[in-house]
Amino acid sequence: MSHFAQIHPRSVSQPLPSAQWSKVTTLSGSPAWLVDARRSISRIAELRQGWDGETSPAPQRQAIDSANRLLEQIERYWELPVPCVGPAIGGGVGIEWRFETRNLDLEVLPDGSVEYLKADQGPAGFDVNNMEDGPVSLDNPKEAHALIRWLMQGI
Amino acid sequence: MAKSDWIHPEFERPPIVESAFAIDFAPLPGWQIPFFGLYWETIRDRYPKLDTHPAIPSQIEDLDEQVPPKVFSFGTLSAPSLRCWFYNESETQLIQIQNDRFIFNWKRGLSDEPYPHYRSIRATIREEWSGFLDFLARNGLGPIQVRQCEITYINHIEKGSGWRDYSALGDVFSQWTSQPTSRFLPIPEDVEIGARYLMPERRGRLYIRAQPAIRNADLKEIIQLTLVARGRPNSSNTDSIFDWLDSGQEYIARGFLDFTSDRMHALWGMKGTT
Repeated sequence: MSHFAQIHPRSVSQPLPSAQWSKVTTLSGSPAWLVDARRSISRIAELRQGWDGETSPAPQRQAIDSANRLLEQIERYWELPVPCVGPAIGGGVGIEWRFETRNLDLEVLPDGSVEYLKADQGPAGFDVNNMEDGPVSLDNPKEAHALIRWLMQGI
Repeated sequence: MAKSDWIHPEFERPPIVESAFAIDFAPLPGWQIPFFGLYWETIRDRYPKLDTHPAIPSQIEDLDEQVPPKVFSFGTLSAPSLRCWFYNESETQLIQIQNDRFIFNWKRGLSDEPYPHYRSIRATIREEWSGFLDFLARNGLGPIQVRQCEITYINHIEKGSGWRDYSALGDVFSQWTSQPTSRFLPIPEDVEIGARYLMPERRGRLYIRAQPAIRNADLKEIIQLTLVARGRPNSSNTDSIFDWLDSGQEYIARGFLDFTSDRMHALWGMKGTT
């Protein structure tokens, strides 16, 4: 579209900027991927023991809290694709992104600790030599930021 | 400004989760980063927790303008675009300071303490504001030229408490009509409502916004109903500031009652007048 009309990007009824302290994810003011991920985690939090048809424990409170905390650390990345979020056997939560040739798996364990697995798909498919895993500290947001940077930019 | 004889109704289960009272003043030319720490020392016994954030740009209401107010942002080496948060142990009270703003927030904290009445919050704000003015005077940073006051009330209306989907918003907001399902459009996925109102006697402007949201703390789907009143007090002295806050708070309370339905008032346990 090529026009030169002056527009005001904000709605007339939008009183931003805000001094709000309590944290919410607004559907219109947040990245689509974040809204989707929070909704998924909300549904996962309601699962009960045996949700897998077997004997898996319900998702643990520590895992839900850590998954939330992880999302808060990366919520400013508007351009992220929608992740696949699901419950993990044992009471954890899994969050998986795929972007271009890269896959990033974040697994939140039942005790709330987080581990990552990143894999870059070469011409012949995924290769164990192009995979890396390790822990993610939620006390240092730079670690989560580095993983997102790798996912989106490959660096 | 004439005192109102309007009496605030009380709720047994008010939906309010947070309120914020901001005093916006002309940027302090002598304010430097070390003053954040020096000020913190004066309140640290009550507000031992600290966070830093980018400063909030100033947004001054022009009551003659039909378009949203312009946002001003100042960021120079002498006036850093930094905002410091100082909050109490139970995370219910917060003082936000930047070189052109003093903000006091109350929110539901780690314990589920009941919402304190405005009159008790008002006493605390006045005490903290006076302390801030004393600090500025002691450090040769004043006097303050107040440009605007702002009050924000944030309410969370949980899904399942008065509404189940966005076809039922007419049950929640008195100024919204629920659409019958026989119409062409289906039930909306979500709805966002925004409105602005001029306050009488050019006292300022009220913004009301209802936004679908997910509350991060417990991942519940909510409608966040935010009311923001902004306006300029008659002068920079403390009595004028608190006169404006009183009238702005009353306008928000009355606006909230008018905007929300009688059905929701009953659900929140409105006690009538006291």
